[in-house]
Amino acid sequence: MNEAFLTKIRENLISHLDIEKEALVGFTDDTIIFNTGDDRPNLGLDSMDALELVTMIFELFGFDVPAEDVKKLYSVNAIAAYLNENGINE
Amino acid sequence: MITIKESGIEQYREFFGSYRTAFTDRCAESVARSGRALFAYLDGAAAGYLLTSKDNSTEFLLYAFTLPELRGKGVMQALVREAAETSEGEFGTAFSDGHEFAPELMHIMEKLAFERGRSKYIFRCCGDDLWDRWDSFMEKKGRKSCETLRRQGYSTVTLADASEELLEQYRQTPYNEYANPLNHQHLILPGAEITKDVSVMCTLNGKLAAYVFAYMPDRYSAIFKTLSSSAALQGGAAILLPLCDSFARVRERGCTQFVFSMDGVGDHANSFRNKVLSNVISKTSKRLSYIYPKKEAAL
Repeated sequence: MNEAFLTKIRENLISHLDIEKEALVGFTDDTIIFNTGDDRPNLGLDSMDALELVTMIFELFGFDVPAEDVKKLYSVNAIAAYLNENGINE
Repeated sequence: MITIKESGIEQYREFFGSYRTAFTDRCAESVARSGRALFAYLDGAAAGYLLTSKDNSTEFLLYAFTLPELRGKGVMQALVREAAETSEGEFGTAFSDGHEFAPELMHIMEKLAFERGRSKYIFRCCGDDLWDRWDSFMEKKGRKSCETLRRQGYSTVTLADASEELLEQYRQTPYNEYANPLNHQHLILPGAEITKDVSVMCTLNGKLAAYVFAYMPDRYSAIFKTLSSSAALQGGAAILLPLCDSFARVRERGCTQFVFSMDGVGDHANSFRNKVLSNVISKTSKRLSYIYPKKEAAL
């Protein structure tokens, strides 16, 4: 995956969703970003954050994520792959 | 000696008229439609009363009162016991832990072996800056989030304008916890009905996604009775759209204060409370509910 593309997603995710620095310890592009309700490491984002993520993607890439696809955006790499599938890679 | 008699609502006005309030009058009206009025006499003199309303198989204690000078003599407990034991179906009640007499009521309920039901949080929203606080949230995040939901295909319709097909979806939905089509009377105020043109349903592709039902007892106040999302669409914050729409409608009518209740459980509900509703909450209390266990008939 294009590193600049991943960086763009990662940095915007962190700034748009007001993620605190402490939460980013050990964070990788594969870290699950939503609260999974189990022991898996995750960033603890919630349903309102998911909505903001969709808004962020629209503002950055002009692409509307359909409601049923929101669950596919579970990590930085997953977001990048999803956008890639929809013809967005930069 | 305390004696309890069930009789017509006229005695409420005759013996307790000087303690009447708008709320107790509403309760009395409800009794006249469907409910009971029990009166307590201490050594032959009127000492207190208790009003109930009935909804299908459940009877609810709406209001109970003891004359101030006769409090502490067991009048209230005798009234509640009689009402519970003579009820034909389930008998229950609910009150706020912030109520003036909440400790006494809790004591009575426990003493009479009422079972504690699920508590709900009650959020009161008021203050001169109420709508400024909401505007600030909308400006920062709310408006954009609503635009996103609309682009995703979500749309809203008031309960007044909802199609019969949509109402049928609501009636049949498993997340309609009351399974009682558009009738939440006992849960708000006796005799009150959901205000249909400020209550809003949200759909996605013609399917019911979320809804917000509110009741406005007057133009300044609103009770947001139900905020609910389809289980399949939880996690998408679709509830934001009907809520914003409903807020705009009650505000347009002159509403300056409102309350809503939520269960204290569920990640999505907590998230919504923390991220959205916290912007307008002024005070939080707990709604305690009690059910009197119906004794099985002896074999």
